[in-house]
Amino acid sequence: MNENVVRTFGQLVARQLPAHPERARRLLSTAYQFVGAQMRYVPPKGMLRARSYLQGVTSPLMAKALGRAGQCACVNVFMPCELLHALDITPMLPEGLSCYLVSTAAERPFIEIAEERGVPESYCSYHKLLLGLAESGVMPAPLCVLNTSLACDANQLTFRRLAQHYQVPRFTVDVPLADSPADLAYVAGQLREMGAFLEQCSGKKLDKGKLRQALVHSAATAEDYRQYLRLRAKRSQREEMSAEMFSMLALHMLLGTPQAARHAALLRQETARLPEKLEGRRILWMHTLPHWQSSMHEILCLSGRCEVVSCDMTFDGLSSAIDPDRPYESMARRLVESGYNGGARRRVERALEMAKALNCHGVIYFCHWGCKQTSGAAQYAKQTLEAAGFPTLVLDGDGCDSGNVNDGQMVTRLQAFLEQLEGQA
Amino acid sequence: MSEIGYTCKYTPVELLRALGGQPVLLNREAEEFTFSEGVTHNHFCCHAKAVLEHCKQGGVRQLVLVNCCDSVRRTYDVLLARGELDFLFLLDLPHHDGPCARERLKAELLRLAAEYGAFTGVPFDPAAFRAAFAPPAPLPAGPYLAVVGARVGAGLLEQLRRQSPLPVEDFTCGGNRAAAPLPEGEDNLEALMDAYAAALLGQIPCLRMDEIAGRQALFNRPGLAGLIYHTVKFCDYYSFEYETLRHETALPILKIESDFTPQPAGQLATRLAAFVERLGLQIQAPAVHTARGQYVAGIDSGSTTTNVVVLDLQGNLKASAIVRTGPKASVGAEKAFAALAGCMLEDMAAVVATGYGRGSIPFATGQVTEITCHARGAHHLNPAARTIVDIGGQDSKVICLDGEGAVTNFVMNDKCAAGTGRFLEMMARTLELSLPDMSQMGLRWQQDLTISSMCTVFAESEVISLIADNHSAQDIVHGLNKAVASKTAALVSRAGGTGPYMMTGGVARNRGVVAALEERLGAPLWVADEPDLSGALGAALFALDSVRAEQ
Ligand code: SF4
Ligand code: SF4
Ligand code: SF4
Repeated sequence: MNENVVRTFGQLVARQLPAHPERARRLLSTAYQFVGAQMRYVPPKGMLRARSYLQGVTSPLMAKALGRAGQCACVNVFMPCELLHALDITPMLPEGLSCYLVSTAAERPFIEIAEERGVPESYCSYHKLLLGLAESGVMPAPLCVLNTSLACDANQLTFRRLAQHYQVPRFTVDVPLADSPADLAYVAGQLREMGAFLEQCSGKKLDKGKLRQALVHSAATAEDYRQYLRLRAKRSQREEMSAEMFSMLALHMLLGTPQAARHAALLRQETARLPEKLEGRRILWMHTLPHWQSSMHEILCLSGRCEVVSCDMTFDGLSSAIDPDRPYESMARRLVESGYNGGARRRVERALEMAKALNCHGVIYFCHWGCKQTSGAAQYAKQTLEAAGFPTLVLDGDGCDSGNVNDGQMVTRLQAFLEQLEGQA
Repeated sequence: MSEIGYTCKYTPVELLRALGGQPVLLNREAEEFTFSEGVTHNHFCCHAKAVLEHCKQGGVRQLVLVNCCDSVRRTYDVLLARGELDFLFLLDLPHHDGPCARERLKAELLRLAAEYGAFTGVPFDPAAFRAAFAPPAPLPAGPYLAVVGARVGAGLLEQLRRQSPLPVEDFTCGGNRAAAPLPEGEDNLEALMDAYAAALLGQIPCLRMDEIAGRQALFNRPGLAGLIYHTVKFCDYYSFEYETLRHETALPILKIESDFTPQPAGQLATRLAAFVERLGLQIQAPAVHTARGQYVAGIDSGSTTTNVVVLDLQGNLKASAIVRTGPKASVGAEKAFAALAGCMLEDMAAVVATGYGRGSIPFATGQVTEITCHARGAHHLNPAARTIVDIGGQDSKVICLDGEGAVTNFVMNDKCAAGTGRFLEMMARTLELSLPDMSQMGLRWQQDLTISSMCTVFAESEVISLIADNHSAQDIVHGLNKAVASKTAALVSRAGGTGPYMMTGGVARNRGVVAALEERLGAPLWVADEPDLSGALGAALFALDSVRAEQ
């Protein structure tokens, strides 16, 4: 959508919000359905098929999340969703919805609603936005709320408040820091309990065969994505800034579906067809991307000077083995072995491996507003990565709230960083 | 014995003691955060930053942290990477408290016992371990206040205790520890750690735990007369509980936020005094007067202006004045009296002082906080008003009243210029406008601009780029007014304010802001002719009370 149309649309939503939340909801839901259809039938020129295919899948899901009450389970990014897919319950991811909202420039009023209701200003703005969506009456009640304690405190706080707000049941998977067999068993046990919890909430019976099938899809997705990364290490591709965010959705919320598997397969096939050639500076991104910010998009995606090769959040837990015959252990392994679990050292080590494997020149460490687990490790990450030969930019910004951003300063820092990278042999 | 620092009530201090350690609670404020922000980030829990500062200054050689929150985890990561401490351990506390979680915590306790035992060289002695359990200190028998919420720093707690007429108990992370002594049974390490894990998890849960229904017990203790709800800057956990609690509890509740630096005494003293006034603990007879004058005066000594109102003994307005305070509150007060036409200090039967400088006015016969005075003055001017929005030069506040004019709740903004008169002044300077011009201009806008930045510094750069984009000053001023309105509306909503609304303070003279706020609230704002005087008027009414009480 063109930028002015987007702004006007955002204002339209904002105006409906106070008196007619259900109208605001319908507007958003229709817009997302429209984007989904557009991606399916007239994908933008130059965009990889894998990308437009995926947006064609996720957009109607977002529309569904804003549709009738009681249809979706609200989950956080790291929650394994194979159980939901096996039970035919649609997962709904707040970061996903937040990403969509900010793309329609409709985020501010929701954030204000949350702050007016006592959500601290220093809180993660993805979560602020989600709470605003819920408490403004725009997001209908989910069937239930599921969250892991990984990767941050916000999960517990937001999801607890959501469950209270909607008066729906909630389940928390507590993820210990270590990854001993006992820790794995602790998590696997909780996931089993979650299966029973979901059966009870939905009144459906979990079919072991379907769960196995979901894990088969997950394994295929992971394998294709691994191969894609191997190919990408030797190839360049100009992509939208939202590309990694969408892959993140595919490799988390949608993992276990044939759609996620198809996305990864397409990505592998299309990348294999690209010429083996590296252009511009190659950047590994850590944490979420501020894909709404046109100045960042301009430099990172359109300038031709650099490309974001991958993001450490997309592939955080998929290096773990997946065994469809041991579904609970496989899902548990993904959690305890995630790059986002077990301390900053592991997260930075994983990023370092990725930066090397993907032939990157530098790393951008994005401190999203309110994300203490990221900001607290910022200097440690910078020192460690630079000691290993990867110049690192700690970039403060906001993945979804334009109100927290000093755009000019971000542009200066990013440009100076590129100049630094370009100055190197 | 060697000192070992800890911060959380889930820390197994009995075990540490049994292994030869001397646990000390790390709860002090830090003077500055230069080092800690250098190794982490400025958006990082201020308590965690203070812990880092104390480690840096060498006060701590051994430390046990609990995997409480994102900030503590990263504090551990940073300390681990620096490798400067003699002993460092992160205890992974489960979020659940059921049997499986207890099993996990037991494993963690065994891990700690092995590592710390190896460090001190003291073998585990079951008898020493059992003897290390101390019963918690008893609570006061009579009425007392409790600090709840996020951990309160040692300095802040002392200050609260000094200023409060009632005893103040600490029910936060550091002060609320109560691990029950273990039942008699097997005395091998495994069995003891299993029972110990249950005892630790059996404490009243904090917000970090998944299941928090047990916290009700905190608020139902006998003798508890009021809650001081504390939050820490850049800590997320506790604002959530405050939001629920303020709707649900029958106890009076005062919200304070600290950033783990030594607190300036002023604002805290005002808030606590207003809170205590609200509790009805102190009988309001502020003025002890000796003079026999014809009049009474109220004097509102603010940080920018000093305002004075004089009433005759029938309560009719005799005179008023507004002057700039200048660097000394007492001098400002004298100037204000000098500016009154035809009234001398000698004519006053009583003078009640309010505002920041109320403690430094030598001729005042009594003091009442500006919260209570604003409420009193506003109610006198407009008895229908239920919510007073006061935006002054340096701060803004919202006060809720009942039908009798008694304060039912109030909130003040914290240490931040956004949404105050100062913010508008700075923006006027950027736009090269005078304040009266700005007040009118905000009404004549055409294009609906939004200034999205909440921070004064960011907003300034946004304004500059809007000027560069050739937007008209009218439209920009309107955008700024909307920003102030949105900030203020958030304060109103935090206070639980309802109409009819009234606005006081210098910014109430700004027509544009009033209009923008009316739009935000969806209701009219009543503004008095002299909106800056309601605090002084309230103080004068209190002075009148004191004279009448004596007659
Ligand atoms: S951005 Fe950070 S704080 Fe926000 S949800 Fe993600 S991990 Fe949590
Ligand atoms: S919030 Fe809970 S876990 Fe954290 S320090 Fe306080 S008592 Fe400990
Ligand atoms: S004050 Fe809050 S953020 Fe800070 S250490 Fe305690 S729980 Fe964590």
